Amino acid sequence: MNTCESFAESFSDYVENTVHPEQRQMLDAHLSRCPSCQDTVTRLSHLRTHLRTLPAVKTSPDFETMLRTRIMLERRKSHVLPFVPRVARGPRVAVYALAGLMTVLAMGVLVSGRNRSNTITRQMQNEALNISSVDQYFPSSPIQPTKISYPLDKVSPGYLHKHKQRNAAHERAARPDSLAEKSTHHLGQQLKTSSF
Amino acid sequence: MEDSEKKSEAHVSDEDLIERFQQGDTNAYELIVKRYKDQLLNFVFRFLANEEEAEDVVQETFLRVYRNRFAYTRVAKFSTWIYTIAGNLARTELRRRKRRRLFSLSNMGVEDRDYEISDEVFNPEAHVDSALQEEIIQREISKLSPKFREVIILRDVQELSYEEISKIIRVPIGTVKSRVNRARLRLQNRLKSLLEQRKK
Repeated sequence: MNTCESFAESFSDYVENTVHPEQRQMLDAHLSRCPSCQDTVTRLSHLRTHLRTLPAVKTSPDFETMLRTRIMLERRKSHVLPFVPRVARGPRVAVYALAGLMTVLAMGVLVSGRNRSNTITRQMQNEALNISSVDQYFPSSPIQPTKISYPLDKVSPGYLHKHKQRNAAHERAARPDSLAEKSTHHLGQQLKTSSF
Repeated sequence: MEDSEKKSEAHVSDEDLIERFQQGDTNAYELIVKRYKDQLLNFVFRFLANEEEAEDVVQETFLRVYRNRFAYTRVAKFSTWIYTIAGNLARTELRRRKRRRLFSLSNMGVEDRDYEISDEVFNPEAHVDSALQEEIIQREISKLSPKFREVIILRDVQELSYEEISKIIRVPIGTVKSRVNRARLRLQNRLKSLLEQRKK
């Protein structure tokens, strides 16, 4: 009455030894008479061994580093890359995008560091044009300042004090080894030598 | 001192680790990653048959665990939860790949469609080394439909219990058993020559 097909439904239980004792007896009886089903059961048993012993694959050495980077990106995603389309947010793409962004930022800081030193000097130069003693700070300046004279008797002592302080500040800032020059130069050197 | 710490950490259950992580302990998360990264990769790799894609899926799985750590409750086993996430992502990746293939097939000549070779044509050499055997088995696993592929990998490669598989894929145990049996029968039929070599 039972066909090979219906017995086959229990073959997995049979090879795993989880079949009920009564059903096992029936299966044993059928297998002893049916070489085709006997072969199938043997192959099923070999298949399980093959599958269990398939070589295990291991994650790449940079797996955890990549994951940390992705978590970091995840935290900053809304702030740093709100404009990146979803299609570009692939796992590896994201890491490369971060690396690229950092490089661009570093180059930007370097360039702006150089420009900044110029900007400060120009700005100071422009401001310095408003004071009469500009020549002593920029003797080679091609721009000739407008000379403004203040009658001393009409100038208040408070104004004179402020004027002196302002002059001293400009003098410090205009020197080539000023703090502003030093800091931008130092930052530029640091970024040049640092690695990502 | 460090060795004893490592030993004690090895005995901490997954559920305790995720609870520690929920309380802000990122070391617990790192331990979870270390525990599961290779076994998840094995599962996803056998499912997708592509190591790079599989690694991306496993990365995404851990990212989901990180992002949704508070969604986990102790009602379920942690392994069930993480395998469910990985399985769902792997299936999504498979669907994505199918769409890509459908698109690229239209631009491909008949001679390029090597994965469409019929089973009858395929006849492996009498003596194949283990690497080739693995490749043959993997290729045949990949030919199974995703629902059969997933259960046979979880049962025979990952060696999970029927009960756990049933919870991971959210189908009754009877259905899991039936699918595993059918998947095995199909595989043994396609791998006859390879499996009979072993018999000899």
